[in-house]
Amino acid sequence: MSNNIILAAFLCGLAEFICYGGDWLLGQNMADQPIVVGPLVGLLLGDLQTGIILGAMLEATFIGAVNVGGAVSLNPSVATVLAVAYAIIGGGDTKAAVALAIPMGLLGGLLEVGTYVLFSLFQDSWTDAADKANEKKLIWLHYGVWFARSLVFFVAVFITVVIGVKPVAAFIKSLPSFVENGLGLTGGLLPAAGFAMLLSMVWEKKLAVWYFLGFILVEYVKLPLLAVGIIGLVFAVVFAFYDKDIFDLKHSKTDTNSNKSASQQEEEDFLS
Amino acid sequence: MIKELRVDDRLIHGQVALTWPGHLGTSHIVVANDAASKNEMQQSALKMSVQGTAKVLVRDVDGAIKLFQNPKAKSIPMFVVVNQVKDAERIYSGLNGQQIERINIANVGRFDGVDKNLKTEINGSILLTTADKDAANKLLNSGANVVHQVIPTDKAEKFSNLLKE
Repeated sequence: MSNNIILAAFLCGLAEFICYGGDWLLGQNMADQPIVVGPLVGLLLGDLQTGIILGAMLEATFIGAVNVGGAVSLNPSVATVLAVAYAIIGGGDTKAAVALAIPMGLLGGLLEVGTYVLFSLFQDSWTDAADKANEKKLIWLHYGVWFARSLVFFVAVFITVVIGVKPVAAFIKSLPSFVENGLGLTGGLLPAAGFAMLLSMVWEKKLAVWYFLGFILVEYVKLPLLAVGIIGLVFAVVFAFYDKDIFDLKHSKTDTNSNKSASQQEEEDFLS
Repeated sequence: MIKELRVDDRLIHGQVALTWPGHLGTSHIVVANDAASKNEMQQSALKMSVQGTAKVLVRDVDGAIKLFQNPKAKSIPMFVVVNQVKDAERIYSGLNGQQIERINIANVGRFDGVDKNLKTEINGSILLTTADKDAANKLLNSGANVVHQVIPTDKAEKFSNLLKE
């Protein structure tokens, strides 16, 4: 085993630590999303372009997989680090990397639940420190548990990259070519599945028209995605200004209707 | 019309604000809670948590019942959240069991400060005090449709089956 793979694995682990740990350290700032993780891993491994491409494809795939509350389904950062490592270190196809990212994300999700269980052992120390108003201990626990939990992810990614990436890449290459082709096709479909999951959450009649507009712009007008994105941005800005006008109007209305109690007015607004 | 009457000890949070309104097809959330109706800070926190996605109204339990009897309210599909089974029962009997499609006992009794030994643990997210248990039995006896389903992708379990175990 060469030093190269050890260094690469260390860098992957570091990226996982920064992104996953960073997300939880600073108020879930979304640093663990593929669009952030992919480019960072790509940069550290010396292939920024692959990192950005995979980051974008995986973001589309994972965008609908929201972990709400304690209900963890997938861990996007573990999935992205390992997928990018597979593509860059193992020399694997990027679309196959997207397909492989899903089971990796599921295993990452299991690891996440495992760490929740493990670190709940500190529960009594927290309560105890809070009872005794021991500020120092609380601060230590806060950052200590954060560090230990992020370290678990660092170690998991490090070990997986060291022992896993090259053998998996070699194994997939040794299979008949239709397997890698199939994985690639599946990988190409997954971002669509991700968006479908997102749509099932936010779908409503008012928004549905935009979906069809986007479809037409891409499929019939054949606009590049960047142009569609900018058109979307223009609409968003226009509507934001309209929304603000409506908001201001509503508020000036409630001020003049002062003969009703605030509670009645609130109820009327709610039912209107 | 009440699409769903949910018992959740955290009232509005991610599961409530993000996953359920779309699934139920409602954009009106009513929080029926005596303490929150008197606490302005909690009210603005509750409203802040659903910024833009749905309308939120916070009322005490009796005020909420009055609201549901308003003819205008009967035609609007609503999602109602309470934080204890007792309150759900009050609303159910206050409306004579009318208008309520389903009662969902999702999360209850984890943060009320009552000693755990005094409660019946149904599963990880349901800890019932005797008062809550009585209320649940009362609901079941009067034929209410009571289930346990934390998020829409979970399976809805019949609450009567959970109580038996």
